[in-house]
Amino acid sequence: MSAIAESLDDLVREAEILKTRLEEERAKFNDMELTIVAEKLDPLPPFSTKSRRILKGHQGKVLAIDWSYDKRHMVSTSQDGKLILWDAFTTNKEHVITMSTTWVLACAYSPSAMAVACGGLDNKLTLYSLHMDDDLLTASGDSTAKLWDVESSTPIQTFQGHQADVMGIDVSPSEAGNIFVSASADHIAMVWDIRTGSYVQTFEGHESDVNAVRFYPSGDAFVSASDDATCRLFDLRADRQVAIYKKESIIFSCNAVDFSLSGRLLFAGYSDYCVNVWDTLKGSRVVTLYGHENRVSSLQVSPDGTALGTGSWDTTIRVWA
Amino acid sequence: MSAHQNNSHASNQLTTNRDSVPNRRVSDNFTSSRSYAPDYHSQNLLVSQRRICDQLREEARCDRIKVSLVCKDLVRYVTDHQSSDALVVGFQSPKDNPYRDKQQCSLL
Repeated sequence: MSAIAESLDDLVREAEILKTRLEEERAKFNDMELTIVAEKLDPLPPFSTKSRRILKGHQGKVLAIDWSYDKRHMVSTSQDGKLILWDAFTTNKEHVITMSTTWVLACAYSPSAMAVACGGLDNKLTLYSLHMDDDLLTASGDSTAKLWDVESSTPIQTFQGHQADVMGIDVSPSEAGNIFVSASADHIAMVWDIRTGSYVQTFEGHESDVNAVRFYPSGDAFVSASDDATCRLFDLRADRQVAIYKKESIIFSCNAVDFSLSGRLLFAGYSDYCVNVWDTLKGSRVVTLYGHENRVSSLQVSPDGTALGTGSWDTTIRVWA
Repeated sequence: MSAHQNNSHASNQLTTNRDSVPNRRVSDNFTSSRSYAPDYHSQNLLVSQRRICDQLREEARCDRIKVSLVCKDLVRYVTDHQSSDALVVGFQSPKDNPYRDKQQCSLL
């Protein structure tokens, strides 16, 4: 028993030493700030995007939205237990599906736009499909992420490493989709290799739950949104945080993030009902989008970059273009 | 009644076990408003600590690039793609915006 305790202590000590060395190593490569590199960049043109559509139909808080790859349709889930497929152009509801639970926390279109998946507090992952042959990646409150084989409804790979709920995931636009990043209530974001099932990098810095993550369009970096009211940009190759998006006046948690097509703009949805638009490179706030009357719970730029969709606890979804 | 006592006793033990190994990892000291995750790590502390060390060793070995260089790449990606980013530069013609407001007649 004492031998085990001793070697456990050794391991704890070694972990601490390794941690310190990692921090020192990362600090060595921190030779400049992103805002300084971006100093000479032209200022942004005036921001002309405004609220164009309001999708009304949910009777409870909108908890998640996802754009279809056809750039026109959207799926949303709500606390009213409904999954709705929208035509965002016309604001028509094309399908309304009643779920078995009222807390449907997440939803997503398949890349082929032939199916939608959703999951909630009943611990079920449900697929509505015409045709389906994709694999599916999910994040869960059991502290894991899972890759599923849809045809057999069985998990192919479980990604274990976080020590609290996994709040969000995003698959890399590069690396042939073999890398994904996860956000967790343990304050950490992790980068995973789908092929090996293990994490390859950890990114610390947030002082509270990390609620959402999204890859920079080049795949070299990702942004995270946290209950600590900040968003942070972490670069995979520098293995560290390279920018932080915060203001003293912003004190509510950030729930959702996404980039514009080029990565220049960072959209972030907060619990103070606002969407803040940040200049990703200069680190400054460009504008605040007002409109929602409750917490902004989800947010996504359409695949062609023409519009921003935001879902809110005020039961509506807005399309900004 | 006795079942309840057993339960609380078991959970006390679990807590004690966890407390006996302080600072397994710096990041352990988080507090979260919503963590219902089962504690995989208390199942076998030695195994999980070994895994953490292996992982840290692996991470220490990773090749890094200077922040100044990665930032240049981040900026370059934006300058290469910004001209086609509708949310940044807008649409060439308002007609290109699929969400534009319909032309409205105005009475003077």
